[in-house]
Amino acid sequence: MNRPDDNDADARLLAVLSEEARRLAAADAADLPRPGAWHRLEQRRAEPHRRGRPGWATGLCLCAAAAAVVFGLHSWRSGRALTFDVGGDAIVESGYIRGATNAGAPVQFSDGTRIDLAAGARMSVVAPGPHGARIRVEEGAAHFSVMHLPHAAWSVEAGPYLVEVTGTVFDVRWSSADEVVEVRLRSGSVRVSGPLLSEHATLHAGQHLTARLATRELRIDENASTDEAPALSVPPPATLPPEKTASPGATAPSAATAPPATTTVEPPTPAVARPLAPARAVRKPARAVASLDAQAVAEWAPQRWSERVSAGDANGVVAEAVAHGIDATVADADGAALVALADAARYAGRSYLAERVLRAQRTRFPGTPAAGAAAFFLGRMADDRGAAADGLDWYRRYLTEEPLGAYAAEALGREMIGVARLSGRPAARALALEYLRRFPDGTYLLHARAILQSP
Amino acid sequence: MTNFCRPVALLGEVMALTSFRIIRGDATGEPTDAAIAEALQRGERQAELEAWNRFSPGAAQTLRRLLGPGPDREDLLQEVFLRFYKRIRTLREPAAVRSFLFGICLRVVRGEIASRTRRRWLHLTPTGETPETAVPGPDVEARDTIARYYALLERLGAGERSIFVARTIERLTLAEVAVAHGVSISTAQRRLTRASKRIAALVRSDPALMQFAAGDES
Repeated sequence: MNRPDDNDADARLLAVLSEEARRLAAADAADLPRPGAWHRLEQRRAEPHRRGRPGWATGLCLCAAAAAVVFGLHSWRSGRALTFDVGGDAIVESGYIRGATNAGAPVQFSDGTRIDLAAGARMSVVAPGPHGARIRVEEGAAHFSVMHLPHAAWSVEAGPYLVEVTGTVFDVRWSSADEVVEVRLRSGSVRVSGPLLSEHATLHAGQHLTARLATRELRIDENASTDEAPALSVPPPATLPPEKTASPGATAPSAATAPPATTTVEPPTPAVARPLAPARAVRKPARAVASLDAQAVAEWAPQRWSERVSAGDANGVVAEAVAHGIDATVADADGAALVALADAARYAGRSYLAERVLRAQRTRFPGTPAAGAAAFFLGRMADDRGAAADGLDWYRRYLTEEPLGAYAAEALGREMIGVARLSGRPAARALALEYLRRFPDGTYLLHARAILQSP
Repeated sequence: MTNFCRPVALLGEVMALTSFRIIRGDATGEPTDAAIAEALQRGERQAELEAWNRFSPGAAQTLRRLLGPGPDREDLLQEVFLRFYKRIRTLREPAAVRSFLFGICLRVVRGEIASRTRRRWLHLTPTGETPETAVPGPDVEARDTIARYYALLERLGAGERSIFVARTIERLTLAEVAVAHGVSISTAQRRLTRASKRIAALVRSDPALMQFAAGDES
C-alpha cells in the first residue's frame, strides 16, 4: 500500500505534467477554431444524411467478419511485436537507450533492421509493433538500416520532425540544444514532415536535409556524385497551378515525366537553400507533393483578402502577397487588407511574415483598433516562441492602448501567467485579482485562482 | 481609473475584422449561456451561430486538452457541434449548457481514442494516428515531453483515461467528473486513484518525463 508521502509525490509529478499539457493546449488552440470553420460546419450540416446500410448488408458484413475471425484472418497480420537487442555499453530502460559516451551502440531488431547509435546519442523505441517501430532520436545521431519487408512500418521522430520509412538506409541527427535536425539518405527513400515544410518532403538517395529551427532555415542538399540527379520533393512556392498538387501519398513523377511547370525549369544543382524568406527561386519542376505553398497566384486583389481568409484560403492570400512582394504589400495594402494578411500568415504558420505585417500595421495605422490588436498578436507570438518578456511588453502595450479591447481578457490572462512564470506567483497576485474581477468566467479563471491560493 | 463597465464601443469593428472569433470582453448586454441554450431549444436559427461563437473556442481547447498534442482536428469540433445542435432539446437545465457540451466533447474523444485503437489493431497506421501533418510550433522539448505523457495515458482503458484527463488536465471537480461520466463520486474516485497510480508508475519509468518534471519543480 502506498504511503501518504508517495501519494503526494505522485500527485506533484502528475500535476507538473498536467499543467504543462494545459499550457500547450492553450497555446495550440488559441487560434481555434480557424476562420471559415463555421461555414464548413454549415456545409457539413447541409449535406444529405448518408443512408444507413440495409439490414441484410449489415448481416452480411457481420457474417464475413465472423468468418474472418474463424479462419484466423487476423492471425497472419498481427504476430508478435518486434524485439531488439542492444550491444555495447548502452543503458537500456523501458525502450529508452542511452549510448555510451565514448562508443556507439548497435540496436538489432528481430526483423533484421539495425540502428547504430552514435557515441553519446539517445533514442527511444516508442511503439514496437510486428512490422516496425516508432523510434525517437532524443539526442545525437543514429544510422538506420531498415529491412525492406512487406507491411514494414517504421517511423523516426527527430525533434519535431517525422521521418516515415519503408526500407532504406539513412542517418538521422537531432540536436535539441541547437534545434537542428539532419536526415541523410544513403539508399531508398523516406518522407519527412515537420516545421518549415508545408506538408512533407520525399528524400531520395544522396539527398541531405538540414533544418535549423532557431534560424528557420531549411536546406536540401544533393550529393553531386549521385548519378541520377534526384528531383527535389519540396515544391517552390506560388508556382504550381492547382492541379499540380496531389493528395498525400501520391507518388511523385520523375523530372522527365512531370507535367511542365509554369515557370522556368533549371537543371539540378548540388545545393538548394530554403530559408523561410518569402520569395524563393524556382529550381526545377515541382513534384506532385501536396504543398500549402503550391497555390495558383491570382491577381493582386487585397480587397478580397478578408473574405478569402474567412473562407479558409489563408495560403492563397499569403501566396498572393508573396507574389506581389512583401515590401510592396506592406506599403500598398490598406488597413483591412493588412489585418487579413496578418491573420492569413498566422493561420498558415508563417510567423515571420505575420510579425512583419503586424509591425507594419502599428507603424502605418497607429492609434487604430487594428494597431492595438497587432500589439496583442505580437505579444502572443513572442510568448509562444518562448520570449516571455517580449510577450509581456506587448500585452501591456495592448492593455494600455485598448483596455476594453476584444482581446483584453486574453491579454490580461497571459500577462498574469507570464509574470507568474518570470517573477513568481506572488508578483502576479494583483493581476490575478484584476482578472477575477473583470473576467469572472474567463479562460484563465483557474490560473488566477491558483495564483491567489498559493502561499 | 478606467471604467470597465462602459460598453465596448469598438467591439463590432474589431469583430468585423476578425470574423467568427469569440469576443471575451466584459461587454454588457450579451446573452447569457442559458439564454442561448433556451433559444436553441426553441429552434432559433440565429442562436446556432451565437452558440458557435460563444462555445467553440472553449470546446476546441477542451478537445485539445483531452486528446493531447497533434494536428488541428476541426472534424472533431464539427462532430461535437453536430451532436450539440441535435441533442440540445434534451438539456434539462439551460444554465448547465457548458457541462452539457463538455459531456459531448468527452464522448467524441472517447470515440476517437477507440478508433485509434482499432486503427492500431488493424495496422492501418503504425501508431493508430491518422497521417496528419505534424504541428509545427515552439516549445519543442515541452511538446515532445507532453506527447510522451499522452502516449502513457493511452495505456489506460478508455474510461479510466477519460476520468484521469478530466480531473488532472481538464481540472474538473470530482463531482463534475462523476456527473460527466455517469458514475458515482466514489466510483470516479476509485478509478481516478487507480489511474493516477498507474500513470505515476509509468512516468517514473520514463527518464525523459522524470527529468522534465524535476526541472519544472526545481
